[in-house]
Amino acid sequence: MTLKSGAQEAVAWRDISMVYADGSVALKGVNLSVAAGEILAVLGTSGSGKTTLLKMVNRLVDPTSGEVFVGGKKTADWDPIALRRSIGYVIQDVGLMPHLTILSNVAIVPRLLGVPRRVREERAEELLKTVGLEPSRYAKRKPRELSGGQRQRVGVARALAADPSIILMDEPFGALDPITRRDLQDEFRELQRRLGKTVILVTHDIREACRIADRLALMDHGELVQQGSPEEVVGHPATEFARAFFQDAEAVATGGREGAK
Amino acid sequence: MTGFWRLAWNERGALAASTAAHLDLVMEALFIAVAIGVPLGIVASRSRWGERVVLGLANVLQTVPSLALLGFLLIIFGGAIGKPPALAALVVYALLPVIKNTVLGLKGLDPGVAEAAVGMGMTRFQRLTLVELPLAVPVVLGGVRVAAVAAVGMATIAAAIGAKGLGGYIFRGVSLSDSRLILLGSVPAALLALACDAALGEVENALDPNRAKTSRGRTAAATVAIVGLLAIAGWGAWLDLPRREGEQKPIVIGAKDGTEMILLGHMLADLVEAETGLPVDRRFNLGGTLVCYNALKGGGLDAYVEYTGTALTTILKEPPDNDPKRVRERVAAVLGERDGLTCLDPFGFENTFAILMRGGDVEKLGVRTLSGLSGQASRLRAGFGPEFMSRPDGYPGLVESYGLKFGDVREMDRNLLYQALAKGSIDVAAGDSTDGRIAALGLIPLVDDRRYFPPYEAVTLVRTETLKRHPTLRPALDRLAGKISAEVMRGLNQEVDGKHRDAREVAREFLKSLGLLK
Repeated sequence: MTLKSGAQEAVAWRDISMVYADGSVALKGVNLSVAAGEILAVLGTSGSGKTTLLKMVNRLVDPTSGEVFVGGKKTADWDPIALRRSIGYVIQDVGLMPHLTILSNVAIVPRLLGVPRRVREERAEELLKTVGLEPSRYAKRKPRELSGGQRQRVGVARALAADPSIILMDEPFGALDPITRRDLQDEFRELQRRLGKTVILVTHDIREACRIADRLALMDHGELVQQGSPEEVVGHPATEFARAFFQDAEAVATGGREGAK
Repeated sequence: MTGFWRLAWNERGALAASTAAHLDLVMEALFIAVAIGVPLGIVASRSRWGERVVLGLANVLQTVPSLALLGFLLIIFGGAIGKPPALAALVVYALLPVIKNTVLGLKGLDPGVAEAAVGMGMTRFQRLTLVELPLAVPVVLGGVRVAAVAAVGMATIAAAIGAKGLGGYIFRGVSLSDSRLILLGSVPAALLALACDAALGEVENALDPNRAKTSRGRTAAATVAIVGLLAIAGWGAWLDLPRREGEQKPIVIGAKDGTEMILLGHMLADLVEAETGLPVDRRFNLGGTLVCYNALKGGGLDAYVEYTGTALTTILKEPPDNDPKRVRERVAAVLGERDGLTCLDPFGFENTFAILMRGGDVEKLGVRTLSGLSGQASRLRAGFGPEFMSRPDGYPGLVESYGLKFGDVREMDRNLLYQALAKGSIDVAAGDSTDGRIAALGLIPLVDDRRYFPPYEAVTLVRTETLKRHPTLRPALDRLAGKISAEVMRGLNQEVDGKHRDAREVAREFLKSLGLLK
């Protein structure tokens, strides 16, 4: 387990296995952890179990065996509603509420938490600025009036609204065009540095993982194949699968990390 | 066509009130259907089992024929006629589209939105109220729209159980073969359907977050239209409210459909108004014997005119009898004892079924009697009303008694029979012996040489309790006893059916000629 020295464990998976009712195995004995303030990218092909692993953190999925810890407490001991409200969640579909304005969308978790309207709307405006959307232009618009990239910015702002210490991201930039995606990745990396959130990012894109993450975890057929810094993992693939997965990404990965160092 | 406009102008007050009552019925039904249907839709959308049960039930209700449902509800409502059972029927039919679209709207939620809602930490209730329902609203409205258009049409049929609305014109028009009256009811009904559809469609659009915003002008127009429709409906509801201060509960006089019944109904109503000063509510063109009888028994009606033979076979369900006096005494005894109804003295004429043919055919075929008809029947097309088809003293007994085998037998509205026969689309029909159209259209009644059809006397049936409550009522209702011969009745019927005169006017004129009315 490579923890940053002195850093606290924000999320940890212990001996996680997941078997569906039909007998198919999604996860096999996974042990993994994320340090507070760290960005972990969980990589893998479709069906490798990476999304299932992510959804166990906010209890959208419960493991058949093993335990997940959030902030040192077993998720099984958390009230799932309270747990989810304390964790930011960003998905590829964004999932903005089409009937609400951008401002209301960003303010929705504080609203669930009972934050007074004025306070939560001020906070939402601040967050819109943070993600690069001018509130005076965008606050009153409806989601369908925004571009895909703008919508995903709103998705990030929404995840940040209740000031969670952990943010889960499931292929957040997957549906965007390459240029928008790259801009957003860089901006997100900057933002994370400023805010110091713990981020778990699920992606199949090795370039994205290397550009954003501090640490990579590679999944294959429900098993954790390898974990470590991008340099370690990409430079020294542990298995044939890892070698194949990283094959054409090495150059990009190293290039991508230069800016961050 | 000028006749139509003149009629519309003369009727403008009543027409406006009928339109408002019609819309009120539809709107109230829709509100109730939404109030019941949306929660049921939510329940149905939660589980496969719930969906099957709820949608299955709604589907079954939808397939019940409208007249059967109205009749059934009339009995459930203890004979109350008018708005309550009509409203219930409209609600039953409006439920399916509302429930179906609620389920559709809730299930059609974007999976990304659904996942985000759960992932953000919404409780089940919050997901329903903050996300699923608001997003389902346009789809639900689509269902309400379908229900609204159907309800406008359905509400015309509700006139058969005495509900106020545009259906009254249509029923009257059909029974009088007067296309102007039919148009007078159906044109506003069609306009109402279009207006409801358009207005709800605009609301649906405006509330759909995935559609481009409609222009302010259109939204404003839709708002005005909705407010206007609600205002008209509100007026209709207000007109229907019982007037409290000092006003008595009116005497409700009913009448089955058919010119003769309506004429007699008007006469009774006019006499009661003139002689007792009690307020009278006229509920005419009710859909058949059992509707009227159940309403009378349950207290929805206070009086209506019935034929003794019909009472014997349809209400008492006893076999036909050829002796008019015996029939009347038997009916009076059973209804008096069992149902608390009083059978007044007969008006003085007998009415019986008459098998009719065109004058030309009678000449050509040389048929004068029903026994004479049996040899020719296989080459003839016959048309009968639904009641005649099923009554023991109607079609089943007729064919048996005379050994008739018609080439073709059609069941059609009995008021359409005369025209259909005169125009040659059928060759034989069963009509009423006192119907004025027989002579007017050159039809010939065949002689019932085996005296199969029992002669029926027309009598007034009244709730005994109402007679006790208002001692002045009986003398007023008795004024016409023995005053109307078959000859006179045929003449009055002909004034309405043949000359297209207003039944109320004809009735009033006749009462004046007898000196019963000033």
